[in-house]
Amino acid sequence: MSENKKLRKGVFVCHCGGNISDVVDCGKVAEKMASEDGVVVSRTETFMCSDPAQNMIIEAIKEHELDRIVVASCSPRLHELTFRNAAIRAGLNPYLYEHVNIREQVSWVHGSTHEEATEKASSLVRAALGKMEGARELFPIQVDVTPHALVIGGGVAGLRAALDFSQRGIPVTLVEKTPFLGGRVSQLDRVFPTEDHARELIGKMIQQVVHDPDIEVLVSAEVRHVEGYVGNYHADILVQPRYIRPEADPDLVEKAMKNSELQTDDEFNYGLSKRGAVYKPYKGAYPDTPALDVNLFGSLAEASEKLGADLVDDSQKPQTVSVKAGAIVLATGFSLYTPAENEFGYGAFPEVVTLPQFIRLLDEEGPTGGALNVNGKEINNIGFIHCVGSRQVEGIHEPQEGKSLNPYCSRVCCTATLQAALEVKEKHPEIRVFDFFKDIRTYGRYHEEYYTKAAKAGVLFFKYADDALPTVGEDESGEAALRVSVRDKLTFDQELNVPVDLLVLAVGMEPSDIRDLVSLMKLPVGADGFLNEVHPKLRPVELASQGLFLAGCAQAPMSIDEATGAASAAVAKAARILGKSRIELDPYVAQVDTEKCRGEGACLDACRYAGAIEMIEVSQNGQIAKQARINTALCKGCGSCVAACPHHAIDLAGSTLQQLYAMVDAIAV
Amino acid sequence: MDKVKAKEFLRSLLKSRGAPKELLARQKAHRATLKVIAEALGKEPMTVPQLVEATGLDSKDLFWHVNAMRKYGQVEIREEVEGYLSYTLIEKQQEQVHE
Amino acid sequence: MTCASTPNKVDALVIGGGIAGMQAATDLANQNIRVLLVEKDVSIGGKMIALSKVFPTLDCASCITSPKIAEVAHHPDIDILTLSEVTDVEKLENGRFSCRIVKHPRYVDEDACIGCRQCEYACPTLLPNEFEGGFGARKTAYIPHTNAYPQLATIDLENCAMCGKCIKVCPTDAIDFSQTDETVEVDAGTVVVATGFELTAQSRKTQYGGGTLPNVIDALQMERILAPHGPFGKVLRPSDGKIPDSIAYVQCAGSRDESIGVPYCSRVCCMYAIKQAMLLSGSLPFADITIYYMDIRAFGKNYEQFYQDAKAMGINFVAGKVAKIFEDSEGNPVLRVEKKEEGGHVAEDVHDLVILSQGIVPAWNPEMALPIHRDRYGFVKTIEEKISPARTEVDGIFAAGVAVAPKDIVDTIIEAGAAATRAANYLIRQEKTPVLTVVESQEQEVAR
Repeated sequence: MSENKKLRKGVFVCHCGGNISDVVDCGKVAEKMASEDGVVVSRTETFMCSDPAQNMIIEAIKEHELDRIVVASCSPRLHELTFRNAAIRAGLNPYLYEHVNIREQVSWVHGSTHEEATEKASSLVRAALGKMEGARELFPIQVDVTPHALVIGGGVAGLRAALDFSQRGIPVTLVEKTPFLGGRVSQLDRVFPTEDHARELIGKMIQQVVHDPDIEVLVSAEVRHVEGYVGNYHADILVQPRYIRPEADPDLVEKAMKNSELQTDDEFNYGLSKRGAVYKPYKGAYPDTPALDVNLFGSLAEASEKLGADLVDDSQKPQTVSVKAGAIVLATGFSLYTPAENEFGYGAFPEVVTLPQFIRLLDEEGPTGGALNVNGKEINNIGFIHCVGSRQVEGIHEPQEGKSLNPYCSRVCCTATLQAALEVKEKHPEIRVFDFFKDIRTYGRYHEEYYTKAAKAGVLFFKYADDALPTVGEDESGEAALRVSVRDKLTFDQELNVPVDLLVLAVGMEPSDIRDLVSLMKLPVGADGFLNEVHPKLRPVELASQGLFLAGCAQAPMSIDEATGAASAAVAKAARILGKSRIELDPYVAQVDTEKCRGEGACLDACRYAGAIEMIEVSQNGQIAKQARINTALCKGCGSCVAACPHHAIDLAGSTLQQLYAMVDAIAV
Repeated sequence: MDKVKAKEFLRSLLKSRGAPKELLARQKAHRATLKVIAEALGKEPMTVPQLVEATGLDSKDLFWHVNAMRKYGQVEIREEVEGYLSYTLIEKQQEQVHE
Repeated sequence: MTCASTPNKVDALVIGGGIAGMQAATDLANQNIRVLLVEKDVSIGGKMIALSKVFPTLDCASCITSPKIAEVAHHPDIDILTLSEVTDVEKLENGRFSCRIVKHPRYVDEDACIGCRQCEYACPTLLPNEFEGGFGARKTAYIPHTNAYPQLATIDLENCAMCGKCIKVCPTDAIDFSQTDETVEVDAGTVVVATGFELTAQSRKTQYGGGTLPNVIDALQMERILAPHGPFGKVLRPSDGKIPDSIAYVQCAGSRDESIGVPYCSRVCCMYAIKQAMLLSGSLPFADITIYYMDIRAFGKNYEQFYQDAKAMGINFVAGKVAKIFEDSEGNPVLRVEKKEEGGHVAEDVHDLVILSQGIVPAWNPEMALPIHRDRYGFVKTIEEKISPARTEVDGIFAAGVAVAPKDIVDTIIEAGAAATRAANYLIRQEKTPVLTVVESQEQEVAR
């Protein structure tokens, strides 16, 4: 392209079906832009992203030989790629197109000021036209891809993702923080709605995973460091030793596991039972070698001394395993809401348990062998309260110290509660079951059947209002241990007192404590504390940083099938990257003007991405001189170096200083 | 397919299927309704209840036809009148062309 | 792209061109897997392209669907057949599937038509437009809507007066009445069923008027009324074009209802009713909007917050079962409601417009064409759904979206991704590595 050739620009203004045009006079914007320097086409469309409108743009590029285009529409997060692809189809370099956001940045925030909004939209488009004046053709940066995936979390979502990757021909490293695989699902009894046995389901997956030569499993392992970029992440994983010798005499192991000298609450049974220092959560857990709880001893040496060197190998050391992966899946799961002291009697009365605890009680392999009793006392009445720690309302619920309220619905507790209630009724028809709810949310496939069956089986329902939570106290009549008082909307706001011997709180889900990962990987967290996807419909299992994916309850409360579905969906997206030997990155990176660079290193000091800039030695006029060089794959295009360079020797491709000045000039007109 | 040949196929199709009498009757009724509405709106902009009063047509059916006329560029919305919209005839029937 | 000649061998056959099918096709094709997408309607986009805005982000539906349509339409590894039905799928010994597809005639030459709509303008026959829930009009020769892909005219022969005006005006001589049903045989490595849903018929709820009351409409019709460039141009009621002052939603009007054979929850109705109520209060700030419900099921990410926002906006949520809907002398719907919160008294509430949150039923019976079965509600039966979603009884056939069970768009998109992974991995297990097929298809391209 010769320098003196005048640019031919096209402007395309989108109505967004009223989202923009209800506020901004799009026709007027297009009309104004038509008279801007170099603009040969200026048009509007109801939906610029629609196929016919894209074709219109393509035709216009071809017919009018456009060499710069500006699309004024929604956020570039939604549709920058859409129009880049349209430009490519028209034979135009995609970086000669500029996206202007006149929806989120104009119509949605200036709803009542039509004229000013139209003026602002025009200014922004004018700025984009100015920016395009200095735009040059750019080409994506090609990088090699490491065909390996890293999955963080060994629960059902992580296991699913690992299996799917491996079946897809992509080797995987699966990292689990605790000493055993299986996550929360292994703590369940039967799963709704299929009534499959939870540990059979998860056991099947674990067997597949551990016998898969393409899956490397690391337990007691934590990700300590992550660097790199899509296609080429590098993670350091700290793996704690097992200490228990896998080859140890089984009798010795058995004896150690039964040793009740040092005991602590068994987390697998949510503290309903105790476990020893050498432990396995359940029979058949993986790995088969039990774990050693070193914290119960003063030191490892003490443990070895007490348990014997035949069992404990105290020479084992923590190891750091380095993993190179083209993509990372976060399947870090959830934690459970812990009710506040005396919230619905929790902590104040031994007869108040959480639903996950109750599920352990129902489990024939659980701490009571499936027998229902509280401290040996017989149970005649059971109550369930829904929405404990979910759907919390400001002014009604008190936030716990250092925490905020959980306004969201935890999605699975309604069906899980009714499943448990129904199981009680089926096993013990004589027990009276009371259910206190806000709304029954048996939304999923076959879930409603639990509701109808529970009602038919005689479960009594009480609907409480947001602002009238049930209260729990001692039953003074002596009929039962506790009494739940509720204002029941189903009986037209009658105040009712319900005696219960056992009260089950359907506690909600909370995000896992993954603060370390969040800061390590700069993960986006939503207002609810869960990890945030880019867009719930456009990119539902992707995080903002390319190559990072979400699976399961790290994103939001989900049922098991939803979590495994999300894991498989994440693999579909990741396979798009990992199935290729090279991928393309945006070319918006710093570039050094070697004529001007004096090698002073101000850019290096300003750069916050390790390895993105390096100082190299070059020969200049027979002398060795220092000069900055950009590692384009590591540069994120933040521009810090541009601001730091005293000689204007460094610039950002796609947003050069000259282009930015042109934008400012255009707005200042 | 050139127009002569296309028409031949259409004719043979018409022969084999027979004339769509019911459809033609419906078409005629539609035309009559459209004409009545156009005549009424030709005098002044009207709302649906006003059109019902002027034409005696069933209001749901009339409203449907008004919207058909809107879609095909014969009628446009004018303004809000007592909880309804008034419609007016577009003088020159133009096809919508971009640019 | 729409294909002039159907490929006779593909890696994956995707049945259904709605959001689930489009997502599955894209997720497969982006892994270099060659896809044939079959849609029975005249254009792809399914139910979603007809929606106004979507919960809980209130993005316009078109803004989300249109680019997905464009991606499918222009993907080099996706071929699209519209107006086509899969009539037979048989699993072969080699693990692949022999598929028979019937292409119905468009009576328009797809290569010649330029989508100028001259035929539509010239056509003298007015018909109710299905795309607008019957409210708007279309012609016998028509393009369903401005965002439709492909932008090709179709002639609805069943409703054609055969006047020949379309032939006369077509600038490219694309009208072709010689077309007939055409059967194509395709050998596919795997099959994804994404055939979506219909609403339960209003006629089955006789106590709600059974579809005879003009101001009692379904939620998809309301979506069109709310959509930009909808059938009325504004929010009006269908009987007389009145701007409604008082609008009511009746929840579970065809779900959780044993009496009509839909005992399950349709999963999306609470949220779409809340969303529509919010949109209505935006366009009609002074209107009263009431939602009559049994339970509000706002279970998804950010859904409960969306529900609370709606309450804060002043939308009335009334717990109560609507027993009957009838019309007063002015054509206003009257709801007989037992109100739980007011001592259970029975009230008769008059509204200008009522939207029934009808239930969701499967749109297609796969047993007619595929060696798989339906579950007790008529949806595709799946196996190992807890740990391996999207699998059917037949290995190699997968299912996604509402064809499996009612679900919202977010969950549908995720399940479509899961189906794509299952299908891709099935192809690998069959040792048909997609990489090889790519080379093959490129050679085919060259050969053409």
